[in-house]
Amino acid sequence: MDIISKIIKFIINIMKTSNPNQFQKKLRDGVEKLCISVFKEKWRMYYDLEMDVLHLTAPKLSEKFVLFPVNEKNMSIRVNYKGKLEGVVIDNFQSFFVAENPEFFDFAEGIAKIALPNYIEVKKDNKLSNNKLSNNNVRALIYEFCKMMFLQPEPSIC
Amino acid sequence: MSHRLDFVIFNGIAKDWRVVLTNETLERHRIKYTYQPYVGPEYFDENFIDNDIEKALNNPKFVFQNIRIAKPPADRKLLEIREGREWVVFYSEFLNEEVKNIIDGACYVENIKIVVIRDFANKVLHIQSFHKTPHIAEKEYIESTKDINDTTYRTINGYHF
Repeated sequence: MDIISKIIKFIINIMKTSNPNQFQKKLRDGVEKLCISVFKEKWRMYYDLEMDVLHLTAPKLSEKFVLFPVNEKNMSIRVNYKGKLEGVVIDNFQSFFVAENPEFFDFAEGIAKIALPNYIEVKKDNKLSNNKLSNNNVRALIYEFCKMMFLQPEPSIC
Repeated sequence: MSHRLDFVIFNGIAKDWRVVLTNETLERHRIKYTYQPYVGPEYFDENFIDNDIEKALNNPKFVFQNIRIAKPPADRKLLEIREGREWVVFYSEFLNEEVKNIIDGACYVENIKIVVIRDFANKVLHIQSFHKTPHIAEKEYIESTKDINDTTYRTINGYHF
């Protein structure tokens, strides 16, 4: 069995389980409240131009973490060893993610210009000067994250 | 400038090639991640740089030519080799024992992705960047390279790169 399918199954089980342990409970709560916490806790968005990786992370991060794949292509969630959701990571953002979701092309062009070590702070009243990084674009991307996490069909291989 | 990592590959796909990771490359990573070191902690992990990268290059699971889709619309599938140079991506799997205990004994495998530039004249691989990832994105698009010395052009949907 594919390892990614195994991990997706593990995440789906966490979401469904009725009596989760502390790790699972925290992770489930984190995923459910992702949309809220991104704006409330003022998460940050980083882009590594060299490796083509987009990070959306909480402002305070743990040293030890795990990246659980959400889909089989490029998206994963970052969870610390206590089960707290600390971020979303997209590998090959410009190469493959934007190619498959062309509505984010403007956003990708914009974020490439403020690559690491610079970052965007995501908050509701953020006045982003660059049109390509408008609030709508940022929101659409976060909505896409949430959609992919909740609507990911259960893999048949599992 | 002294080299941080400099060894010859014995068992890997680029057998007898020298691998070089310069202080300049490491410094570039450090500058990038200094403000948020935990975004990519492997850049600061001595063990990762000294041992894991060497293991990965000597026993790679997949090797791809690094591709970039240059411009949308995506359906054009235009590809380019970055900056006109040939990039190669190595992936290697390793089992994360610490995580295994957290997720109830489930097997958790991480991939190390290493991007190198080939210097044909001197048979040297210059490491440009590296990180850990659960995904191997190229797998869906192109076939893994069998031989690093292979210079034949590969195609995706008819386009050469």
